[in-house]
Amino acid sequence: MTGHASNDILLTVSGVSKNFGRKAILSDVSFDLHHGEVLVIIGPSGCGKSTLLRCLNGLEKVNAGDISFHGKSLVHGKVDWKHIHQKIGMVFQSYDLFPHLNVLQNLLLGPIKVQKRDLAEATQQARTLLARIGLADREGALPRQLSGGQKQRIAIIRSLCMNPEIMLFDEVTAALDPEMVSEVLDVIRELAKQGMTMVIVTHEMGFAQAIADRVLFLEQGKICEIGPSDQFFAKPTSERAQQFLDKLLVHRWAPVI
Amino acid sequence: MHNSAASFIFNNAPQLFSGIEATVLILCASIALSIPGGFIFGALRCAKNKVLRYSTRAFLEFYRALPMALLLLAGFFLIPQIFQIQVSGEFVAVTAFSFWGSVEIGELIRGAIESLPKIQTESGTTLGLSKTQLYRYILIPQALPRVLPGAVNLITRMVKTSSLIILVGVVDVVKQIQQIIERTKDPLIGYIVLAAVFFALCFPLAQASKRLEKRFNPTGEPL
Repeated sequence: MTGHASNDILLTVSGVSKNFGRKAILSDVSFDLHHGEVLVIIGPSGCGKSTLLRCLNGLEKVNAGDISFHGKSLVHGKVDWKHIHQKIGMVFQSYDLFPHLNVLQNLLLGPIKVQKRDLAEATQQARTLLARIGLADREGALPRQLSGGQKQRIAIIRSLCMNPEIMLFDEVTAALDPEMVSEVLDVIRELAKQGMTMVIVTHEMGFAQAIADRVLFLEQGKICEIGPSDQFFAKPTSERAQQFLDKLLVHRWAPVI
Repeated sequence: MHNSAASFIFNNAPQLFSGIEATVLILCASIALSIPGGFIFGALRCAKNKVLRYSTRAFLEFYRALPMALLLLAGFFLIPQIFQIQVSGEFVAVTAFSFWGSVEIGELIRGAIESLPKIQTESGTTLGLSKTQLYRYILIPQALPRVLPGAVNLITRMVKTSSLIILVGVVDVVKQIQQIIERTKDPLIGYIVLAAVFFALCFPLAQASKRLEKRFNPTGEPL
């Protein structure tokens, strides 16, 4: 996904720094996210991957630099977060369904209460998405009656019900039992096929290799390397990225070509 | 006839029931005021503003430390002196009990909301919910079942402490039974009946709370 025209840019991150107290978490991070692009962020634990993702939708405030969505700053001036949150969906590592609401109520809360959409139309969309992930018969179930993999798939389509332009995934399979990882990753792959713009933080290297258009390798809060996926996995330019990949000898996912 | 509880109740029914009525009315009024009061106090305790948070905390600690007898007596005798107004014992009792209920319920609500996983707030926020919507649809519904056991415990304590309102001249069930005993000279039966009245008020509360907890959390999983 190189060679995009600049009007294709959805999100621009420029010179972003973030620290918790005196500890620098991100320093001078810059990149663009293009329409329809899948950007995978990888790097060792504690390198700032999740923090970077959380900065993109305002869950963390940046200390320096700027982030802009469709050219409008998310850092400076008055930001219409209610609007931004509808456009930038996010799925977390831990199961984040609302435990007191059933599946359909979870899916409809945003469309009905935030977007004030028509109940029949929103319900139809929710049911279509449920059917697509094979859980059409579970719309009345409570989250505690579902498996981890089912919960994560529903969390994904709960975001999709808002019709977002970008989806952020923060290690969505990290808390799952191994046998449930693939059912969640399949949903994300399906989204990639449909052209959804996504930023994905993951430890699943095989998956990253299969799905990414570009890879961003982060270390100690700095971008160590950013480039096309095939190039990165074939021969990363930085020594640090090469070491990181060498350590991951066992790839759960075979590259899909 | 005089030494049976049934005849004690039967012979003094109007007086006994007017006492129970007074006790129950004051408790109901106090609890009814404590619930909205608790939400307001809980909201203040969760406020971003530090002055609000700390001043409500100070009020809470201070109020908890004072014995109810002192609050009732001070309210009854000092308010008229300071503000030059007449207050009834009932008014002082309802006010003192409502403040007690409000600060304690507020604290229960705050604790329950803070015990919810942070991810609930974050995923609600990323769906675009406003702060009010977040509390209304996500946090408060999840907090309420957690508040319930503590709230029932509090109400039970309020029922028992209500026996102190005789200090400010309210003719409640305790006072009525005392008067009946003075007339019948039968303290044993009198106090057994009084104990039965308080048991009858408190026991169903505990049962109702157990049923409600089950309804909110049918599988009995830890919340």
